[in-house]
Amino acid sequence: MSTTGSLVEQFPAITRPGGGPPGPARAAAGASAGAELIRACQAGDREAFRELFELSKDRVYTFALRSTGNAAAAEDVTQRVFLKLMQRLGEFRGGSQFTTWLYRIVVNECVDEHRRGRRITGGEEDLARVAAPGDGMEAGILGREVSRAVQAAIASLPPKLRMPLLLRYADELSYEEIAQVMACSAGTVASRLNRGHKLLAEKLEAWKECVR
Amino acid sequence: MWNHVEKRLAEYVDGRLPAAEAARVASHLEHCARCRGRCEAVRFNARLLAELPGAAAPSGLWAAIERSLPEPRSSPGFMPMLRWSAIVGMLAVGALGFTRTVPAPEPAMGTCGSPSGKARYRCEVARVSWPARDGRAAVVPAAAANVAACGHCHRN
Repeated sequence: MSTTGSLVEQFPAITRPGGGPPGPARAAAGASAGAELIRACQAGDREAFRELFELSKDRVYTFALRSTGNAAAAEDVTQRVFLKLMQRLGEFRGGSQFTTWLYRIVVNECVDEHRRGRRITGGEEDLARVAAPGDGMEAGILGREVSRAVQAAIASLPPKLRMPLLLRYADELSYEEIAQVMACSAGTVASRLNRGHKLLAEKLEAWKECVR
Repeated sequence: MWNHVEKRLAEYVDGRLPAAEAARVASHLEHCARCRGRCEAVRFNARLLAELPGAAAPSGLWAAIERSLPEPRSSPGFMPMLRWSAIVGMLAVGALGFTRTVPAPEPAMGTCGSPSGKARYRCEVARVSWPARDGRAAVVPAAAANVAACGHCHRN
C-alpha cells in the first residue's frame, strides 16, 4: 500500500508500507525535513501545517475508514484529528516519533467515534469505498468481495483488538510503536493481537478457500 | 511437551520470539494440528490486512478544517506578548478587587510614643505598624488626626 508516497521522504518511520525500508541517508534526510516541517507548524506557520496535512491526510483517513467502516465517520475523525493536531502540536517535544504521536491521536479519535455508538460499520457503499482503490493507488491483489469481507470483519471487532491488528498488519508498526500508541506494554500488544487473530479467523473462515 | 502455543503465535509469525522459543513453537506445530491451523489463520489474517487497499481523503477536507482553525498569528512574537499582557491585566484587576473586599484590620491596642512607653490608649486607628528608629513605636500617619482622641497622646 502506498497511499502517501511522499511521506516516505518526510516521515520515514511511518511510510514503510509498500515502499520498503528507506536507506539510512534518505531516512536521515527525511527525518530532518520532517522535524523542520514540524517546527514550522509549531511556530504557527499555516502553510507548513497545510503541507503536513497533505502529507498525512490519506493515511489518517484510510486508518479511520478501516477502523470505522464508514466514510462519513472517517471524514469526521480525520477532521477532528487535524484540529487536535493543530491544538496540541506545541506539546510535541520529539521524545517519541511524530508518527507514533499522530497515530495516538487518530486511534483515540476512532475509539471516541466508536463510543459515540454511531455509524460504525457502514453500509455496502462505505465498505466498497474501503475496498476500492482510489486514483493513483495500487489495486492490490484482493478482490473487492474479499476486501469488503475483511473490512466488515475487522470493523466488527472490539476497538482494543481491532486497533492493534490494523496498526500491525495494515500500517506495519512495530509492537513497541503500537504499545506507545495504545499506552500499554508490548506484551499486552502481543496478547491483544492473538485474541484479535482468533476472532478475525472465525469471521473469515468462509473466505479461506477463496483466497489462495 | 503438549503445551499449546496459541498465545505465542502472533509473535512467532511476526518473528519476535527468541530463537529457543521460536524453535519450541516450531517443534510443537509439527505435531499439533490444532495449533498449526491457528498459525495458518494468523498468517492468513496478516496477509489479508496487509493487502487491504488504501483510500484517498475527500477533496474538500482541508477547506473544512481551515474554517475551524483559529486565525493565523500576525507575527510570531505578538501572541505571547498579548497573552502575557492579558494575564498581568487580570492579576492587577484581581489584586484591586482583593484589596477592596478584604476588611480593614480591627483597631488594636497599641503603645503610644510617650517617653515612658507605658501609657496605653485606644485611639481607634492608631495601630502601631512599624517601630521607629529610636525603638519607639510609630503610629500610622493617616491615623494621626485621631491621636487627638487619646488623652495621653493629645497631652503630649
